[in-house]
Amino acid sequence: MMKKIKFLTEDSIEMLKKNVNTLYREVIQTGEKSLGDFLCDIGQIKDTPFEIEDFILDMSQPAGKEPLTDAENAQRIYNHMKELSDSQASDERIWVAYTLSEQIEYMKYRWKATSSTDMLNRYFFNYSKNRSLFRNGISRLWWIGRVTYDEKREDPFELTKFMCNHQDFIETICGRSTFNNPTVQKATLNAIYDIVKNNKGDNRETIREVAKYVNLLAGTYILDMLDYQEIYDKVYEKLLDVIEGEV
Amino acid sequence: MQLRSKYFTYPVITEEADFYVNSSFESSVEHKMDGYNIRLILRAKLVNRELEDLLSKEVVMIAHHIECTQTCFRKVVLTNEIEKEFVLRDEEVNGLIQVCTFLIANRKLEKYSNSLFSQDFKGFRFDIDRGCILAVGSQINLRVNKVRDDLANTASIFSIIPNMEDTETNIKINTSGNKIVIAVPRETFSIYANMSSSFDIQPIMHSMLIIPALVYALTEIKDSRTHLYNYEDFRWYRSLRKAAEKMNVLFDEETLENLEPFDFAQKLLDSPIPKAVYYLRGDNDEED
Repeated sequence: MMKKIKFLTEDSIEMLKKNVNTLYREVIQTGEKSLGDFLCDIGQIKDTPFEIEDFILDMSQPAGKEPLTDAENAQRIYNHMKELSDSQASDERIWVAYTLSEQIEYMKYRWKATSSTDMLNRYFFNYSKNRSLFRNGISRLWWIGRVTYDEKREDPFELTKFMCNHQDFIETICGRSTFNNPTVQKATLNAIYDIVKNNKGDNRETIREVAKYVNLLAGTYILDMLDYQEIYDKVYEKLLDVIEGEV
Repeated sequence: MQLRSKYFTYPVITEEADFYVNSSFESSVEHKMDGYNIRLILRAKLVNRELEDLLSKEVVMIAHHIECTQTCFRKVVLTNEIEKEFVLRDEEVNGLIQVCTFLIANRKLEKYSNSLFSQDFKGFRFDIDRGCILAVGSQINLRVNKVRDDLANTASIFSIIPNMEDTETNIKINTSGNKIVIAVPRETFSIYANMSSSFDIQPIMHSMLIIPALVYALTEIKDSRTHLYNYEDFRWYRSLRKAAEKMNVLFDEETLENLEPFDFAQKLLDSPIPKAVYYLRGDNDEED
């Protein structure tokens, strides 16, 4: 079934943010109201001109293992909403329509908000603009797809799966300005992928060290002008150093 | 990219340090709308004969670093020309765009030296990697005012919304976002929503809700006149500034010090209070 991509007006978003406690209680905690009911006079959920095939998100993992659905769901969201431009996909108005209405069941499954602040952090854009893209429960799936999708690979979502299995990478690296350059992002991700694939190392500290190192590099070099191989080699060598240092 | 003071391990031409003598590197950006897209005219001026010579041979290059953090857009425009045009596509960017310009090594420089090194460095030689910074220009922040909204039209800078807290009986105003938000008690809002579509009562609504909100916002701007850059992120501020400019009122420190918020709010809204009073007297019937 085809469906238009949804969005909320700015006035609706302002109203929701002004009334976070009531919103949390009535729509998230008790579920006594739908978003449409809550918005009542202020306006309804609107349609963008973009039509997509309707989709549902995977919620098959048991409690405590919800992050294991991320890779599949990033593929589903990105595949269905690939037509959005980066500018549109950085717009809070789209994603709040999904977190609070279209995909609210998924949100309650994956991001159980225990307070209105929790809800603001995961249902809205409550961090810096860049970081919010990777924090909002639905937009993060689109942006993970966006930065990892590689049509040159046999499986274009190979890096998506890898990144989703390493949530530290998402928390530490995604949403940092240096890594917004696709070449820097992919070269770093691939270097980590190759190291992990060869069983040379795989832990939170390694990923943090790499993030620190690349940020440091960005202070001296204009990293964006280096090509893929130059960045890959620098990160790979650094990773080997870090791992050898740990032994 | 945010330019910060950095410590370099080799001489760099910057405004903050005297690593070189009689040398400079300056940059500027002009932007124009090109249909829905934004055309950037990127300029850089290098003063240092030896580096200019390396630039003509593309051993060093000018790197204009363009970034829009909101859309994760990041791009380097490399050139050895002092003026270069670049088109940013509408769908790539939104909000704030930062342009930082550098002179960088385009290949590894071995035993690099320069006759215009300052006294401290004269005669020293440095090995500099490809991609390393040799001179730092300016950071220029541009704001994209999109010709078309990506999703819908958003004309007003005011947002009138219901306040769902049952205990709240007063109207609250908030200026910390893109719009000036006027939160009205829930029941009052329902009545407002039913009546607001009637064009005739607009002067009354403006007098009761918009004028106080505008006075609030203008007072805030007046009080903050020494650090208005904090407000540049808010669309309501930029729109008000533009509307004020059309009335020959500049939002500078001196003008704002003498601004009368209540008077100016009425001017901006074309004096709705007398119109509201006439309407209440029933004058609108005569117009019909």
